[in-house]
Amino acid sequence: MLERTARPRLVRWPRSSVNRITLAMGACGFALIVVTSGFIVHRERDIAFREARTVAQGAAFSLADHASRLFEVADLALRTASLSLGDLPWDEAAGSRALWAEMRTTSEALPYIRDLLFADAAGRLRLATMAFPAPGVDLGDRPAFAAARDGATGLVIGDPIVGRVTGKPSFLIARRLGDADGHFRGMAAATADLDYFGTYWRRLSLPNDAHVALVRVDDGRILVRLPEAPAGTPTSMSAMQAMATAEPMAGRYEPTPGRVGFYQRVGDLPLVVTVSYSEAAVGTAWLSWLWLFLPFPVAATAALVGFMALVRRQGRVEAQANREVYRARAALAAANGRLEQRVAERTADLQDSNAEIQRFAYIVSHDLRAPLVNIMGFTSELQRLRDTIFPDSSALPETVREDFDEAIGFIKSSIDKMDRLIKAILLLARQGTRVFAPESVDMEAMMRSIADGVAHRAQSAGATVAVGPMPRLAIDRIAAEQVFSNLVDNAVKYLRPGVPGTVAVTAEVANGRATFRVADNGRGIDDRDHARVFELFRRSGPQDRPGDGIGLAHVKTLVRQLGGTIHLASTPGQGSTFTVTLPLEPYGAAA
Amino acid sequence: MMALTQAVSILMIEDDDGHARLIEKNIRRAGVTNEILHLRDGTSAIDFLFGGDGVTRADHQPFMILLDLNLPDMSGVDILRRVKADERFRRAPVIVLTTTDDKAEIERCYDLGCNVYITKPLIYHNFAEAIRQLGLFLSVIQMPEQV
Repeated sequence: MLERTARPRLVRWPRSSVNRITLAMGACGFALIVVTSGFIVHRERDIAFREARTVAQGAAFSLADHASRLFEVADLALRTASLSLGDLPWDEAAGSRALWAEMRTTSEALPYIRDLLFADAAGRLRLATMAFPAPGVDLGDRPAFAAARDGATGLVIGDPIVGRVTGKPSFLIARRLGDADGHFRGMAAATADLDYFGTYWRRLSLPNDAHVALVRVDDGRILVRLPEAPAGTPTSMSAMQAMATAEPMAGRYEPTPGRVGFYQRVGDLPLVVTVSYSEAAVGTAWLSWLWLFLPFPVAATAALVGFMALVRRQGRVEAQANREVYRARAALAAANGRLEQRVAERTADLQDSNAEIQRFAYIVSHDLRAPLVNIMGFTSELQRLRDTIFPDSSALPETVREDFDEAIGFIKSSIDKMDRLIKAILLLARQGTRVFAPESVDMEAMMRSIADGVAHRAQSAGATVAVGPMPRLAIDRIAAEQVFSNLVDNAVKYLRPGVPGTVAVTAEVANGRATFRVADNGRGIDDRDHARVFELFRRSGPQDRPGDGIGLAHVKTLVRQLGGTIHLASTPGQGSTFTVTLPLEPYGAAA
Repeated sequence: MMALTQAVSILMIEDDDGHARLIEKNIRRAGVTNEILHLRDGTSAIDFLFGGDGVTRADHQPFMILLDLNLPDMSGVDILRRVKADERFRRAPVIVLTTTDDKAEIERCYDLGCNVYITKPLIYHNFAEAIRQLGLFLSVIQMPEQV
């Protein structure tokens, strides 16, 4: 049992692998963040560009639609005015205030029409809403007039101009006037208020540095543009024109590198509305979104790093703890080893001194006995001579014979006593050399047989002996029987007079040991004698029962040799309980 | 009162003179009159039995041995062993008469060929009784032919 010094096998937590796992997890987390963020960013950029396109395209469509309605209304106004004019000769019309007033009402009802005007076949302004009578202005050189004169059938959209009367930027929307037989009679025209378009468009507040323009398709002249540029600026719309040739109604073009434009035909007029935007501006907007978004992945990464640091720290703490546990266990194992070594040494020492004591006791008992044999023998020889020494006729006083008898009596009783003491020493000495043979013993059966053995004495003393359930022990049968028969015997022996004696033998098992209790309600043992009763030749209480004070000393020796302990709890006048704890199996057998 | 064959001597190996005297007294009381040779220690016993000085009577006369085990100079067991190992004496009866009642010792003696083992009791009556019975035993014992 002393060889159990094998170091405990410790499973060390593989710290490096924890680190590897942590790092791998961290890398995965980071990759996930990057991929997700990348996906979101990319998608957002995609959406931003698509949305910019959609917005521009939609704006082009709706603005073209809007413009076409305006032109329709303008056309309607021109037709109404023309109908009112009818075949009225120019001189008469120019002088008709009523006609002028009607034209003015129409013009004022239409916010984007600044003025309505009529010019005769020579191009001379005859009637105009801005003033009555019309200022003498010649419009003959206007390309719109020329177009009308040359037989244009629909609306003619003139160049952007600065009004000759008003001085404001505008362009002409003109319609040919013909007489009954279809000859050119003049031109009805409206000047469009460019500010109206600009104001209307501005209200839309298109994003991405949007440029909106109303452009004449055939020559690419810009009529109105937002942000404002001087009207009539000859901006190249060649890209748009090129596209419009293939796709006259609507399409996409690239005004300048980095910009995307959409055009939409205004009704069936030779006009388009273009809406272009800067991709760089979309990029900028996306970038500003990106700046708002970026904190999230950054925060996520920071959290991840923090988490990893925490895990790592935890791992380090655990590893540290493990190392400490390992160290502590190693120290414990070493201490254990030392302890067991010392126990072994002490045990060997004890065995040595024990053996010595046994030899000593053996020798003493024998060498004491030899002279005792002589004392006894020759005392008896003397006794044989008594009658010879003291014949009936002796003159000696009677007291001499009595003294002789008394002396002989004391010598003999002392020899008897000495003999018993020597026997006791011998018994204990022999006990020390006895080799125990543990066998499986049914303690209950043994206790019952012990109880049966004292039954007669118990009965005559009015006492009962009860035996509770007992475990089975691997123990030397004789030694165990000696222990418990001594205890039960004592319990029956030292009852209180007049009190029905009860002796209870019980047992319980815990932690590989069985605890037996022999409890009585006898006369008890004084506190001072609790230790003494286990000593050789020592007894407690009134010496009114036969005995030499050997039993409990013997019991104690036996119990110790069986690897157990014995304790006494007792209150004088109430009873005693002897508690014997024994291993279920002898030491060494289980190891 | 029957006497042991006159030719047989009793060889008593006993270091304690008191014991020797008590044994002799009680043997005599039992009516045994044979010669009792008292040897006080192991060395003189060995000399008497195996000694080469030519004075050993053992060669001429049959004897039986009363042996005490606790001798000052050697253990009676050694004497017993030598007697039983010797071709001349091995049939001689050996009665071990000693204070020891140790079971192991008793067994050892019987194993070595001791014929009777008697513990010296302290109660004198018992002691005297034991010796008396030994005397009776001696009176009926048939000695083997001396080799």
